[in-house]
Amino acid sequence: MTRKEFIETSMKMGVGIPFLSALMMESCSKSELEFPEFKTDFKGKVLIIGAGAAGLSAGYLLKRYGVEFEILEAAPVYGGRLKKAMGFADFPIDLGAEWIHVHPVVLSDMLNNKELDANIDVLVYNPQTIQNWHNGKLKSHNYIRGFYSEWKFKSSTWFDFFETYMVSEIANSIKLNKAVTEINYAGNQVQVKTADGELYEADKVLISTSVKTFQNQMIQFEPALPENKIQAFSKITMGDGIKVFIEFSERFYPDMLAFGSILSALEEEEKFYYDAAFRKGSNRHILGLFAINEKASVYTSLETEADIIQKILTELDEIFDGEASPNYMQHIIQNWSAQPYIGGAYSYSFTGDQEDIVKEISEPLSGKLFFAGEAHSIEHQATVHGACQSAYISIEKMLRG
Amino acid sequence: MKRFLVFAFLVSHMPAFAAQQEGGGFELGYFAPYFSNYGFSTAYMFGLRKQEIQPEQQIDKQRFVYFSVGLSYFVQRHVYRQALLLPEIVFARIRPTRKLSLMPSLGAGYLLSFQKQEGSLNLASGEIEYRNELTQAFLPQIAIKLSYRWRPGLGFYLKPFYGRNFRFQGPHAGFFGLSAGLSIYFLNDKAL
Repeated sequence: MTRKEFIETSMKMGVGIPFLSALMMESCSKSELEFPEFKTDFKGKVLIIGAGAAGLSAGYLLKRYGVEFEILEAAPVYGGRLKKAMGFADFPIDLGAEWIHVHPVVLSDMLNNKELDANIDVLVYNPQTIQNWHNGKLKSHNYIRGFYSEWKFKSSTWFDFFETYMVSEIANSIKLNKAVTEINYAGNQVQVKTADGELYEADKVLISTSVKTFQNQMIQFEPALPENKIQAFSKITMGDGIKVFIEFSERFYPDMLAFGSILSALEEEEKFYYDAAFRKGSNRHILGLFAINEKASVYTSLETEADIIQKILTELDEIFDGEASPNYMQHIIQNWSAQPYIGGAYSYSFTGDQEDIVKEISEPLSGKLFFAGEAHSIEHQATVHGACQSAYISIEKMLRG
Repeated sequence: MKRFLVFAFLVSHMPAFAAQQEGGGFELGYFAPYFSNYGFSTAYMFGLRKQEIQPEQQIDKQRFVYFSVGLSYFVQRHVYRQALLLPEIVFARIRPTRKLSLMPSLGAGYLLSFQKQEGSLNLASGEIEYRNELTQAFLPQIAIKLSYRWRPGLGFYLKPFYGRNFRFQGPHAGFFGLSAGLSIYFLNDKAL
Protein backbone atom coordinates (compact mmCIF):
# COMPACT_ATOMS: atom_id res chain seq x y z
CA MET A 1 0.00 0.00 0.00
CA THR A 2 1.40 3.37 -0.95
CA ARG A 3 1.63 6.35 1.37
CA LYS A 4 -1.21 8.02 -0.49
CA GLU A 5 -3.41 4.94 -0.41
CA PHE A 6 -2.74 4.46 3.27
CA ILE A 7 -3.83 8.03 4.02
CA GLU A 8 -6.94 7.65 1.89
CA THR A 9 -7.84 4.32 3.49
CA SER A 10 -7.27 5.68 6.96
CA MET A 11 -9.54 8.61 6.22
CA LYS A 12 -12.24 6.40 4.79
CA MET A 13 -12.10 4.21 7.87
CA GLY A 14 -12.40 7.31 9.99
CA VAL A 15 -9.31 6.58 11.96
CA GLY A 16 -7.80 9.91 11.03
CA ILE A 17 -4.93 11.45 12.81
CA PRO A 18 -3.53 8.61 14.93
CA PHE A 19 -2.83 6.35 12.00
CA LEU A 20 -2.02 9.24 9.72
CA SER A 21 0.54 10.41 12.20
CA ALA A 22 2.07 6.99 12.56
CA LEU A 23 2.29 6.83 8.83
CA MET A 24 3.87 10.24 8.58
CA MET A 25 6.43 9.30 11.17
CA GLU A 26 7.28 6.16 9.31
CA SER A 27 7.34 7.89 5.96
CA CYS A 28 9.81 10.34 7.40
CA SER A 29 12.06 7.81 9.00
CA LYS A 30 13.82 5.81 6.38
CA SER A 31 15.18 5.79 2.91
CA GLU A 32 14.03 3.15 0.51
CA LEU A 33 16.24 4.08 -2.38
CA GLU A 34 18.79 1.48 -3.35
CA PHE A 35 21.65 2.42 -5.56
CA PRO A 36 21.74 -0.25 -8.29
CA GLU A 37 24.74 -2.55 -8.27
CA PHE A 38 24.91 -4.92 -11.25
CA LYS A 39 27.14 -6.15 -14.04
CA THR A 40 26.70 -5.11 -17.64
CA ASP A 41 28.45 -5.64 -20.94
CA PHE A 42 26.47 -2.90 -22.71
CA LYS A 43 28.73 -1.04 -25.17
CA GLY A 44 26.26 1.20 -26.99
CA LYS A 45 25.11 4.78 -26.61
CA VAL A 46 22.21 6.01 -24.51
CA LEU A 47 20.21 9.17 -25.07
CA ILE A 48 18.37 10.70 -22.14
CA ILE A 49 15.51 13.05 -22.90
CA GLY A 50 14.93 15.55 -20.12
CA ALA A 51 17.41 16.93 -17.59
CA GLY A 52 15.18 16.98 -14.54
CA ALA A 53 15.78 14.93 -11.41
CA ALA A 54 15.23 11.62 -13.22
CA GLY A 55 17.30 12.51 -16.30
CA LEU A 56 20.22 13.85 -14.29
CA SER A 57 20.16 10.82 -11.98
CA ALA A 58 20.14 8.53 -15.01
CA GLY A 59 23.17 10.35 -16.43
CA TYR A 60 24.95 10.10 -13.09
CA LEU A 61 24.37 6.34 -13.02
CA LEU A 62 25.44 5.85 -16.65
CA LYS A 63 28.62 7.77 -15.94
CA ARG A 64 29.28 5.49 -12.99
CA TYR A 65 28.96 2.47 -15.29
CA GLY A 66 31.11 4.05 -17.98
CA VAL A 67 28.34 4.09 -20.60
CA GLU A 68 28.39 6.71 -23.38
CA PHE A 69 25.37 9.00 -23.11
CA GLU A 70 23.94 12.42 -23.89
CA ILE A 71 21.13 14.32 -22.19
CA LEU A 72 18.83 16.47 -24.32
CA GLU A 73 17.01 19.18 -22.40
CA ALA A 74 14.33 21.30 -24.05
CA ALA A 75 14.67 24.24 -21.68
CA PRO A 76 17.64 26.64 -21.55
CA VAL A 77 18.51 25.31 -18.08
CA TYR A 78 18.78 21.87 -16.54
CA GLY A 79 16.89 20.87 -13.41
CA GLY A 80 13.31 20.55 -14.57
CA ARG A 81 11.20 21.06 -11.48
CA LEU A 82 14.37 21.63 -9.46
CA LYS A 83 14.91 25.35 -9.53
CA LYS A 84 16.23 27.96 -7.15
CA ALA A 85 16.10 31.71 -6.66
CA MET A 86 19.19 33.51 -5.40
CA GLY A 87 19.15 37.05 -4.12
CA PHE A 88 15.50 37.27 -3.19
CA ALA A 89 16.26 36.49 0.43
CA ASP A 90 19.44 35.88 2.41
CA PHE A 91 19.08 32.17 1.73
CA PRO A 92 18.46 30.34 -1.54
CA ILE A 93 14.82 29.56 -2.22
CA ASP A 94 13.53 26.35 -3.79
CA LEU A 95 11.13 27.44 -6.50
CA GLY A 96 10.31 23.84 -7.29
CA ALA A 97 10.88 20.74 -5.17
CA GLU A 98 11.63 21.89 -1.64
CA TRP A 99 10.99 19.26 1.01
CA ILE A 100 12.97 16.09 1.61
CA HIS A 101 10.10 13.73 2.25
CA VAL A 102 12.10 10.86 3.71
CA HIS A 103 15.11 10.66 5.97
CA PRO A 104 17.96 12.71 4.47
CA VAL A 105 20.10 9.59 4.27
CA VAL A 106 18.37 9.28 0.91
CA LEU A 107 20.74 11.98 -0.37
CA SER A 108 23.68 9.78 0.48
CA ASP A 109 21.93 6.77 -1.04
CA MET A 110 21.31 8.65 -4.27
CA LEU A 111 25.01 9.41 -4.67
CA ASN A 112 26.40 6.19 -3.23
CA ASN A 113 29.90 7.57 -3.07
CA LYS A 114 31.75 6.45 0.03
CA GLU A 115 34.78 8.55 -0.89
CA LEU A 116 32.84 11.78 -1.03
CA ASP A 117 34.25 14.17 1.55
CA ALA A 118 31.26 16.46 1.92
CA ASN A 119 28.60 17.44 4.41
CA ILE A 120 25.32 19.11 3.72
CA ASP A 121 23.21 21.00 6.25
CA VAL A 122 19.63 19.89 6.63
CA LEU A 123 16.93 21.15 8.95
CA VAL A 124 14.16 19.29 10.68
CA TYR A 125 10.98 20.72 9.21
CA ASN A 126 8.72 20.41 12.22
CA PRO A 127 6.52 23.52 12.12
CA GLN A 128 5.70 24.71 15.63
CA THR A 129 2.70 26.91 14.90
CA ILE A 130 0.07 25.47 12.59
CA GLN A 131 -3.25 27.06 11.78
CA ASN A 132 -6.07 26.38 9.39
CA TRP A 133 -8.55 28.72 7.75
CA HIS A 134 -11.92 27.08 7.56
CA ASN A 135 -15.39 28.59 7.18
CA GLY A 136 -14.03 32.07 7.79
CA LYS A 137 -12.28 31.13 11.03
CA LEU A 138 -8.63 30.81 11.90
CA LYS A 139 -7.85 27.98 14.29
CA SER A 140 -4.62 26.72 15.84
CA HIS A 141 -3.54 23.11 15.54
CA ASN A 142 -0.10 23.26 17.08
CA TYR A 143 -0.45 19.69 18.34
CA ILE A 144 0.33 18.58 14.79
CA ARG A 145 3.97 19.35 15.53
CA GLY A 146 3.84 16.30 17.80
CA PHE A 147 3.61 13.96 14.85
CA TYR A 148 4.37 15.77 11.61
CA SER A 149 7.88 16.40 10.42
CA GLU A 150 9.93 16.29 7.26
CA TRP A 151 13.30 17.70 6.26
CA LYS A 152 14.62 20.54 4.14
CA PHE A 153 17.95 21.81 3.02
CA LYS A 154 19.13 24.52 5.42
CA SER A 155 21.45 26.68 3.38
CA SER A 156 21.15 25.09 -0.03
CA THR A 157 18.44 23.65 -2.27
CA TRP A 158 17.51 20.53 -4.16
CA PHE A 159 18.89 22.23 -7.27
CA ASP A 160 22.21 22.87 -5.50
CA PHE A 161 22.40 19.24 -4.45
CA PHE A 162 22.01 17.99 -8.02
CA GLU A 163 24.24 20.67 -9.47
CA THR A 164 27.06 20.10 -7.00
CA TYR A 165 27.10 16.33 -6.81
CA MET A 166 25.58 15.05 -10.05
CA VAL A 167 25.76 17.71 -12.76
CA SER A 168 29.40 18.39 -11.91
CA GLU A 169 30.20 14.88 -13.14
CA ILE A 170 28.06 14.91 -16.28
CA ALA A 171 27.90 18.56 -17.36
CA ASN A 172 29.68 17.90 -20.66
CA SER A 173 26.96 15.46 -21.69
CA ILE A 174 24.05 17.85 -21.18
CA LYS A 175 22.73 19.70 -24.25
CA LEU A 176 20.31 22.54 -23.51
CA ASN A 177 17.64 24.04 -25.78
CA LYS A 178 17.11 20.69 -27.48
CA ALA A 179 13.38 20.12 -27.54
CA VAL A 180 12.73 16.63 -28.84
CA THR A 181 9.91 16.50 -31.39
CA GLU A 182 10.21 13.01 -32.91
CA ILE A 183 11.47 9.62 -31.81
CA ASN A 184 11.76 6.82 -34.33
CA TYR A 185 12.49 3.47 -32.75
CA ALA A 186 11.60 1.26 -35.70
CA GLY A 187 15.17 0.44 -36.70
CA ASN A 188 18.17 -0.95 -34.86
CA GLN A 189 19.13 2.52 -33.75
CA VAL A 190 16.71 4.98 -32.18
CA GLN A 191 16.58 8.27 -34.08
CA VAL A 192 15.69 11.41 -32.18
CA LYS A 193 14.87 14.71 -33.86
CA THR A 194 14.91 18.04 -32.08
CA ALA A 195 13.03 21.24 -32.83
CA ASP A 196 16.16 22.87 -34.22
CA GLY A 197 16.39 20.12 -36.84
CA GLU A 198 19.25 18.12 -35.36
CA LEU A 199 19.20 14.33 -35.49
CA TYR A 200 20.61 12.13 -32.74
CA GLU A 201 21.06 8.39 -32.79
CA ALA A 202 21.43 6.01 -29.92
CA ASP A 203 21.05 2.34 -29.07
CA LYS A 204 18.68 3.05 -26.25
CA VAL A 205 16.69 6.06 -25.11
CA LEU A 206 15.43 6.98 -21.67
CA ILE A 207 12.51 9.42 -21.72
CA SER A 208 12.27 11.27 -18.42
CA THR A 209 10.01 14.14 -19.44
CA SER A 210 6.94 15.18 -17.47
CA VAL A 211 3.63 13.35 -17.80
CA LYS A 212 2.23 16.39 -19.62
CA THR A 213 4.58 15.90 -22.59
CA PHE A 214 2.90 12.54 -23.20
CA GLN A 215 -0.62 13.76 -22.51
CA ASN A 216 -0.14 16.71 -24.87
CA GLN A 217 1.64 14.52 -27.46
CA MET A 218 4.57 16.91 -27.62
CA ILE A 219 6.76 14.12 -29.02
CA GLN A 220 5.76 12.12 -32.10
CA PHE A 221 6.70 8.44 -31.94
CA GLU A 222 7.35 6.14 -34.87
CA PRO A 223 5.92 3.58 -34.50
CA ALA A 224 3.24 5.24 -32.40
CA LEU A 225 3.13 4.50 -28.71
CA PRO A 226 0.88 1.53 -27.90
CA GLU A 227 -2.69 2.49 -27.13
CA ASN A 228 -2.41 0.96 -23.65
CA LYS A 229 0.47 3.25 -22.78
CA ILE A 230 -1.32 6.33 -24.13
CA GLN A 231 -4.40 5.39 -22.13
CA ALA A 232 -2.32 4.85 -19.00
CA PHE A 233 -0.74 8.30 -19.28
CA SER A 234 -4.19 9.83 -19.73
CA LYS A 235 -5.28 8.30 -16.42
CA ILE A 236 -2.78 10.39 -14.48
CA THR A 237 -3.89 13.73 -13.14
CA MET A 238 -1.15 16.31 -13.16
CA GLY A 239 -2.81 19.56 -12.23
CA ASP A 240 -1.66 23.15 -12.13
CA GLY A 241 1.17 24.12 -9.83
CA ILE A 242 2.39 27.43 -8.48
CA LYS A 243 4.79 28.62 -5.81
CA VAL A 244 4.89 32.20 -4.63
CA PHE A 245 7.25 33.78 -2.13
CA ILE A 246 6.46 37.13 -0.58
CA GLU A 247 8.64 39.18 1.73
CA PHE A 248 6.88 41.15 4.45
CA SER A 249 8.30 43.77 6.75
CA GLU A 250 6.63 42.17 9.78
CA ARG A 251 5.66 38.65 10.55
CA PHE A 252 1.96 37.99 11.12
CA TYR A 253 1.60 34.38 9.95
CA PRO A 254 2.20 30.97 11.56
CA ASP A 255 4.81 28.45 10.49
CA MET A 256 2.13 26.75 8.42
CA LEU A 257 -1.35 27.76 7.33
CA ALA A 258 -3.65 25.14 5.82
CA PHE A 259 -7.06 25.53 4.24
CA GLY A 260 -10.28 23.63 4.82
CA SER A 261 -10.79 21.12 7.58
CA ILE A 262 -7.46 20.18 9.08
CA LEU A 263 -7.79 16.48 8.26
CA SER A 264 -8.58 17.08 4.61
CA ALA A 265 -5.85 19.71 4.41
CA LEU A 266 -3.31 17.20 5.69
CA GLU A 267 -4.60 14.54 3.39
CA GLU A 268 -4.79 16.57 0.20
CA GLU A 269 -1.78 18.83 0.70
CA GLU A 270 -3.06 20.99 -2.16
CA LYS A 271 -2.59 24.46 -0.76
CA PHE A 272 -0.78 25.96 2.17
CA TYR A 273 1.17 29.01 3.16
CA TYR A 274 4.34 28.45 5.12
CA ASP A 275 7.20 30.32 6.67
CA ALA A 276 9.87 29.79 4.03
CA ALA A 277 12.54 31.08 6.41
CA PHE A 278 11.70 28.47 9.06
CA ARG A 279 14.98 27.45 10.76
CA LYS A 280 16.95 28.93 7.88
CA GLY A 281 18.82 31.25 10.20
CA SER A 282 17.30 34.32 8.57
CA ASN A 283 15.67 37.37 10.10
CA ARG A 284 13.72 38.09 6.92
CA HIS A 285 9.98 37.41 6.82
CA ILE A 286 9.43 35.27 3.75
CA LEU A 287 6.04 33.65 3.33
CA GLY A 288 5.71 30.85 0.79
CA LEU A 289 2.56 29.73 -1.00
CA PHE A 290 2.38 26.20 -2.33
CA ALA A 291 -0.69 25.33 -4.42
CA ILE A 292 -1.52 22.55 -6.84
CA ASN A 293 -4.49 21.36 -8.86
CA GLU A 294 -7.64 23.51 -8.71
CA LYS A 295 -6.21 25.37 -5.74
CA ALA A 296 -3.40 26.53 -8.02
CA SER A 297 -5.67 27.21 -11.01
CA VAL A 298 -7.24 30.04 -9.03
CA TYR A 299 -3.91 31.86 -9.39
CA THR A 300 -2.45 30.46 -12.62
CA SER A 301 -5.60 31.42 -14.53
CA LEU A 302 -4.99 35.10 -13.76
CA GLU A 303 -3.44 37.16 -16.52
CA THR A 304 -0.60 38.96 -14.81
CA GLU A 305 1.73 38.56 -11.83
CA ALA A 306 0.23 41.72 -10.39
CA ASP A 307 -3.20 40.07 -10.43
CA ILE A 308 -1.80 37.00 -8.66
CA ILE A 309 -0.13 39.04 -5.94
CA GLN A 310 -3.20 41.19 -5.45
CA LYS A 311 -5.34 38.08 -5.05
CA ILE A 312 -2.94 36.61 -2.51
CA LEU A 313 -2.70 39.83 -0.50
CA THR A 314 -6.47 40.17 -0.45
CA GLU A 315 -6.75 36.60 0.79
CA LEU A 316 -4.11 37.13 3.49
CA ASP A 317 -5.66 40.43 4.54
CA GLU A 318 -8.98 38.66 5.11
CA ILE A 319 -7.32 35.94 7.19
CA PHE A 320 -4.94 38.16 9.18
CA ASP A 321 -7.06 41.28 9.72
CA GLY A 322 -5.49 43.41 7.02
CA GLU A 323 -1.87 42.82 8.04
CA ALA A 324 -0.61 41.60 4.69
CA SER A 325 -0.92 44.54 2.32
CA PRO A 326 0.68 47.16 4.59
CA ASN A 327 3.66 44.87 5.24
CA TYR A 328 4.19 43.70 1.65
CA MET A 329 7.70 44.30 0.32
CA GLN A 330 8.45 42.11 -2.71
CA HIS A 331 7.54 38.79 -4.30
CA ILE A 332 8.67 36.08 -6.64
CA ILE A 333 6.33 33.79 -8.56
CA GLN A 334 7.04 30.41 -10.09
CA ASN A 335 4.12 29.32 -12.26
CA TRP A 336 4.88 25.69 -13.13
CA SER A 337 1.78 25.42 -15.29
CA ALA A 338 3.25 28.02 -17.63
CA GLN A 339 6.51 26.12 -18.13
CA PRO A 340 6.19 24.77 -21.69
CA TYR A 341 7.88 21.39 -21.12
CA ILE A 342 6.52 20.79 -17.64
CA GLY A 343 2.98 22.15 -17.67
CA GLY A 344 1.98 21.65 -14.04
CA ALA A 345 2.98 20.44 -10.61
CA TYR A 346 3.41 16.67 -10.50
CA SER A 347 1.42 13.48 -10.84
CA TYR A 348 -1.25 13.73 -8.18
CA SER A 349 -3.92 11.11 -8.66
CA PHE A 350 -4.62 8.10 -10.82
CA THR A 351 -7.91 7.07 -12.39
CA GLY A 352 -7.69 3.39 -11.64
CA ASP A 353 -5.13 1.25 -9.91
CA GLN A 354 -1.92 3.24 -9.55
CA GLU A 355 0.24 0.14 -9.66
CA ASP A 356 -1.25 -1.01 -12.99
CA ILE A 357 -0.98 2.45 -14.52
CA VAL A 358 2.62 2.94 -13.43
CA LYS A 359 3.53 -0.51 -14.67
CA GLU A 360 2.04 0.34 -18.06
CA ILE A 361 3.73 3.74 -18.46
CA SER A 362 7.06 2.35 -17.29
CA GLU A 363 7.07 -0.68 -19.57
CA PRO A 364 10.03 -0.43 -22.00
CA LEU A 365 9.26 -0.55 -25.73
CA SER A 366 11.12 -2.86 -28.10
CA GLY A 367 13.99 -3.02 -25.62
CA LYS A 368 14.99 0.43 -26.83
CA LEU A 369 12.71 3.00 -25.23
CA PHE A 370 12.70 3.33 -21.47
CA PHE A 371 10.75 5.65 -19.21
CA ALA A 372 11.39 7.37 -15.88
CA GLY A 373 10.20 10.27 -13.76
CA GLU A 374 8.39 11.04 -10.54
CA ALA A 375 5.13 9.53 -11.82
CA HIS A 376 6.92 6.22 -12.40
CA SER A 377 7.63 5.61 -8.74
CA ILE A 378 4.94 3.74 -6.85
CA GLU A 379 6.21 4.22 -3.32
CA HIS A 380 7.69 7.67 -3.75
CA GLN A 381 5.48 9.20 -6.40
CA ALA A 382 5.70 12.97 -6.77
CA THR A 383 9.05 13.26 -5.03
CA VAL A 384 12.58 14.00 -6.16
CA HIS A 385 14.01 10.81 -4.73
CA GLY A 386 11.12 8.94 -6.37
CA ALA A 387 12.16 10.36 -9.74
CA CYS A 388 15.75 9.35 -9.03
CA GLN A 389 14.68 5.88 -7.95
CA SER A 390 12.64 5.37 -11.13
CA ALA A 391 15.63 6.43 -13.24
CA TYR A 392 17.93 4.00 -11.46
CA ILE A 393 15.44 1.18 -11.95
CA SER A 394 15.02 1.97 -15.67
CA ILE A 395 18.75 2.24 -16.31
CA GLU A 396 19.33 -1.06 -14.54
CA LYS A 397 16.66 -2.67 -16.73
CA MET A 398 18.26 -1.10 -19.79
CA LEU A 399 21.84 -2.12 -19.11
CA ARG A 400 21.06 -5.60 -17.92
CA GLY A 401 19.47 -6.18 -21.28
CA MET B 1 18.63 14.26 29.61
CA LYS B 2 20.13 11.27 31.45
CA ARG B 3 20.73 13.33 34.59
CA PHE B 4 17.20 14.63 34.47
CA LEU B 5 15.80 11.14 34.09
CA VAL B 6 17.76 9.83 37.08
CA PHE B 7 16.80 12.85 39.17
CA ALA B 8 13.18 12.67 38.15
CA PHE B 9 13.07 8.95 38.79
CA LEU B 10 14.33 9.44 42.34
CA VAL B 11 11.96 12.34 42.98
CA SER B 12 8.99 10.47 41.59
CA HIS B 13 9.70 7.23 43.39
CA MET B 14 10.90 8.40 46.80
CA PRO B 15 7.41 9.02 48.17
CA ALA B 16 6.42 5.55 47.20
CA PHE B 17 8.79 3.91 49.62
CA ALA B 18 7.27 5.91 52.44
CA ALA B 19 3.80 5.35 51.14
CA GLN B 20 3.78 1.60 50.89
CA GLN B 21 2.08 1.28 54.20
CA GLU B 22 -0.81 3.50 52.99
CA GLY B 23 -1.77 1.44 49.96
CA GLY B 24 -1.35 2.24 46.28
CA GLY B 25 0.67 0.73 43.54
CA PHE B 26 3.27 0.90 40.87
CA GLU B 27 2.67 1.17 37.15
CA LEU B 28 4.86 0.51 34.18
CA GLY B 29 3.58 1.01 30.67
CA TYR B 30 3.89 2.01 27.07
CA PHE B 31 3.47 5.73 26.59
CA ALA B 32 2.21 7.09 23.27
CA PRO B 33 1.56 10.84 23.11
CA TYR B 34 -0.18 11.77 19.87
CA PHE B 35 -0.51 7.98 19.46
CA SER B 36 2.57 7.96 17.26
CA ASN B 37 5.25 9.05 19.71
CA TYR B 38 6.57 6.15 21.70
CA GLY B 39 8.21 5.60 25.03
CA PHE B 40 7.54 4.31 28.52
CA SER B 41 6.06 5.61 31.69
CA THR B 42 6.37 4.62 35.32
CA ALA B 43 4.30 5.89 38.19
CA TYR B 44 3.87 5.34 41.89
CA MET B 45 0.41 5.84 43.32
CA PHE B 46 -0.25 5.96 47.00
CA GLY B 47 -3.34 6.55 49.08
CA LEU B 48 -4.15 10.00 50.40
CA ARG B 49 -7.68 9.51 51.52
CA LYS B 50 -10.02 6.60 51.89
CA GLN B 51 -13.72 6.72 52.65
CA GLU B 52 -14.25 5.29 56.10
CA ILE B 53 -16.91 2.64 56.34
CA GLN B 54 -18.50 1.69 59.60
CA PRO B 55 -18.91 -2.03 60.18
CA GLU B 56 -22.71 -1.72 60.12
CA GLN B 57 -22.77 0.14 56.74
CA GLN B 58 -23.70 -1.74 53.59
CA ILE B 59 -21.80 0.19 50.92
CA ASP B 60 -20.80 -1.44 47.66
CA LYS B 61 -18.61 1.44 46.47
CA GLN B 62 -15.76 3.03 48.32
CA ARG B 63 -14.17 6.37 47.42
CA PHE B 64 -10.42 6.82 47.35
CA VAL B 65 -8.06 9.67 46.57
CA TYR B 66 -4.55 8.81 45.51
CA PHE B 67 -1.46 10.82 44.80
CA SER B 68 0.53 9.60 41.85
CA VAL B 69 3.96 10.66 40.69
CA GLY B 70 4.86 9.56 37.19
CA LEU B 71 7.89 9.75 35.01
CA SER B 72 7.62 9.26 31.26
CA TYR B 73 10.15 9.25 28.49
CA PHE B 74 9.10 9.37 24.85
CA VAL B 75 10.37 10.26 21.42
CA GLN B 76 9.19 11.46 18.07
CA ARG B 77 11.76 9.80 15.90
CA HIS B 78 14.31 12.18 14.41
CA VAL B 79 12.51 15.15 15.97
CA TYR B 80 12.67 15.12 19.78
CA ARG B 81 13.21 13.22 23.01
CA GLN B 82 11.10 14.28 25.94
CA ALA B 83 10.83 13.50 29.63
CA LEU B 84 7.72 14.26 31.63
CA LEU B 85 7.54 14.43 35.40
CA LEU B 86 3.86 14.33 36.27
CA PRO B 87 2.33 14.49 39.76
CA GLU B 88 -1.40 13.71 39.70
CA ILE B 89 -4.36 13.49 42.00
CA VAL B 90 -6.33 10.36 41.18
CA PHE B 91 -9.94 9.88 42.19
CA ALA B 92 -11.52 6.46 42.39
CA ARG B 93 -14.84 4.91 43.31
CA ILE B 94 -14.15 1.28 43.58
CA ARG B 95 -16.38 -1.73 44.05
CA PRO B 96 -14.21 -4.31 45.76
CA THR B 97 -16.24 -7.03 44.09
CA ARG B 98 -15.55 -5.75 40.56
CA LYS B 99 -12.34 -6.11 38.63
CA LEU B 100 -12.83 -3.02 36.45
CA SER B 101 -12.65 0.52 37.75
CA LEU B 102 -12.44 4.02 36.27
CA MET B 103 -10.09 6.56 37.79
CA PRO B 104 -10.17 10.17 36.61
CA SER B 105 -7.14 12.25 37.45
CA LEU B 106 -5.81 15.79 37.39
CA GLY B 107 -2.13 16.47 36.97
CA ALA B 108 0.39 19.25 36.48
CA GLY B 109 3.65 18.20 34.91
CA TYR B 110 7.04 19.45 33.91
CA LEU B 111 8.17 18.58 30.40
CA LEU B 112 11.78 18.66 29.32
CA SER B 113 12.41 18.36 25.61
CA PHE B 114 15.48 17.97 23.46
CA GLN B 115 14.45 19.06 19.98
CA LYS B 116 16.47 18.27 16.92
CA GLN B 117 16.56 21.50 14.93
CA GLU B 118 19.05 20.80 12.21
CA GLY B 119 21.94 18.58 11.35
CA SER B 120 24.96 18.08 9.20
CA LEU B 121 24.59 15.10 6.88
CA ASN B 122 27.73 13.32 5.83
CA LEU B 123 27.07 12.39 2.22
CA ALA B 124 29.49 9.48 2.27
CA SER B 125 28.19 7.72 5.35
CA GLY B 126 24.64 9.07 5.46
CA GLU B 127 25.06 9.89 9.14
CA ILE B 128 23.65 13.09 10.58
CA GLU B 129 25.17 15.04 13.41
CA TYR B 130 22.20 16.86 14.93
CA ARG B 131 22.15 20.14 16.77
CA ASN B 132 19.58 20.12 19.58
CA GLU B 133 17.65 22.74 21.46
CA LEU B 134 16.36 22.33 24.97
CA THR B 135 12.84 23.49 25.75
CA GLN B 136 10.80 23.28 28.93
CA ALA B 137 7.08 23.33 29.43
CA PHE B 138 4.39 23.28 32.08
CA LEU B 139 1.87 20.59 31.30
CA PRO B 140 -1.50 20.41 33.07
CA GLN B 141 -3.35 17.27 32.18
CA ILE B 142 -6.57 15.39 32.73
CA ALA B 143 -6.85 11.67 32.24
CA ILE B 144 -9.17 8.80 32.86
CA LYS B 145 -7.67 5.47 33.65
CA LEU B 146 -9.41 2.19 33.06
CA SER B 147 -7.96 -0.21 35.56
CA TYR B 148 -8.43 -3.96 35.44
CA ARG B 149 -7.49 -6.00 38.49
CA TRP B 150 -6.44 -9.32 37.09
CA ARG B 151 -5.42 -10.97 40.33
CA PRO B 152 -4.45 -9.75 43.81
CA GLY B 153 -1.46 -7.47 43.42
CA LEU B 154 -1.51 -7.43 39.63
CA GLY B 155 -3.55 -5.70 36.95
CA PHE B 156 -3.56 -3.72 33.74
CA TYR B 157 -4.45 -0.19 32.87
CA LEU B 158 -5.40 1.86 29.84
CA LYS B 159 -5.15 5.61 30.23
CA PRO B 160 -6.14 8.16 27.59
CA PHE B 161 -5.06 11.67 28.52
CA TYR B 162 -5.40 15.23 27.34
CA GLY B 163 -3.45 18.29 28.38
CA ARG B 164 -1.85 21.52 27.26
CA ASN B 165 1.81 21.97 26.61
CA PHE B 166 2.61 25.48 27.88
CA ARG B 167 6.15 26.10 26.76
CA PHE B 168 8.21 28.47 28.87
CA GLN B 169 9.28 30.03 25.59
CA GLY B 170 7.38 29.41 22.40
CA PRO B 171 3.94 28.44 21.21
CA HIS B 172 1.61 26.24 23.25
CA ALA B 173 -0.04 23.11 21.94
CA GLY B 174 -2.47 20.38 22.85
CA PHE B 175 -1.03 17.22 24.34
CA PHE B 176 -2.96 13.98 24.09
CA GLY B 177 -2.41 10.31 23.72
CA LEU B 178 -2.62 6.98 25.40
CA SER B 179 -0.72 5.02 27.99
CA ALA B 180 -1.18 1.33 28.69
CA GLY B 181 0.60 -1.16 30.84
CA LEU B 182 0.95 -3.22 33.94
CA SER B 183 -0.14 -2.27 37.48
CA ILE B 184 1.41 -3.81 40.56
CA TYR B 185 -0.59 -3.09 43.70
CA PHE B 186 0.75 -2.97 47.18
CA LEU B 187 -0.72 -5.98 48.86
CA ASN B 188 -2.05 -4.03 51.81
CA ASP B 189 -4.31 -2.08 49.46
CA LYS B 190 -7.52 -3.98 49.81
CA ALA B 191 -9.38 -1.72 47.41
CA LEU B 192 -7.11 -2.10 44.43
